[in-house]
Amino acid sequence: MDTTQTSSSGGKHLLNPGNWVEDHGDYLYNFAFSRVHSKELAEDMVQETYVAALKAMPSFQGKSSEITWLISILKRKIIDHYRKSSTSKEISSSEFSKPFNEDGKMQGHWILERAPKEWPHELEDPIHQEEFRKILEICLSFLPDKWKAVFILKVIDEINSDEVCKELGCTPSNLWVMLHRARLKLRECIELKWMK
Amino acid sequence: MSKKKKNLIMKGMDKIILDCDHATYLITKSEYESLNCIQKIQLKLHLSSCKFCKMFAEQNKFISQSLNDFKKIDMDHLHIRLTEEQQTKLKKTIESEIKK
Repeated sequence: MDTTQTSSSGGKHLLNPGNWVEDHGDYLYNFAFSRVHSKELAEDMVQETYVAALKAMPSFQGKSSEITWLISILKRKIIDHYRKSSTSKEISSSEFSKPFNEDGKMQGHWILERAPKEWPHELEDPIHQEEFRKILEICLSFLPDKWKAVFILKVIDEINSDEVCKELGCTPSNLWVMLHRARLKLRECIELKWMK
Repeated sequence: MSKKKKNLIMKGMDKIILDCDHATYLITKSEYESLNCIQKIQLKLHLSSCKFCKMFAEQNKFISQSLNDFKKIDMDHLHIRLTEEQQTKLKKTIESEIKK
């Protein structure tokens, strides 16, 4: 079925849902995958995006290209996913302990056994890129949901701190604390997995 | 130098000198936005004498870089592709939605 939206004025972008899978399927799938780090979830998101897009077709004004419009819907889906997954539950101490001394003369300084170690230079070799990415994904999955949500949404550079806070219900200073801890945990996890 | 003056300087130094907890906090923040003048000085001072935090900063940058690279979509070198099965499923969804 061809449901191409026709418009009288030239220069306007058109929608052609009949070709959405061929034309944009892989692009949307990769876009989602690089942000949710799960193939199943990425597929679900692409499907949800198509459904939402079909419903929103009447409001498409043709100002942006088809793919830009679909991506904007997908982005919304990704934010919704993280908002839902990051319920306001507190992080337990078993999930995270700071790698810094809590008291004594060395208070606030690295606990020696947990301090950063030199990473091998081979890590920067493109050959190891895939392997590093896999470790990164595993370590991301170990982060508490809320930290992960903050971390990923912040990485999607189109979303600024205020927006992230609005979506996830946190204060700006809270956001930095979460990002700080997420990065401490992530770094340590990667190191342990890589050196193994 | 008077004792009072010495104490005052020491107090001032305390405010400028960061511990590693604070330093790594600023390093993380600097990954996303620029620090203010005082924070920049504080961090620079700390990094000049702390090899652990220096490594933390480098490794953190590497992690960000890696995630950013992953985010870029090169149509000639896609990370993953939809299987035919997945494509058929998606097409069916679209068709049935259109019919609704």
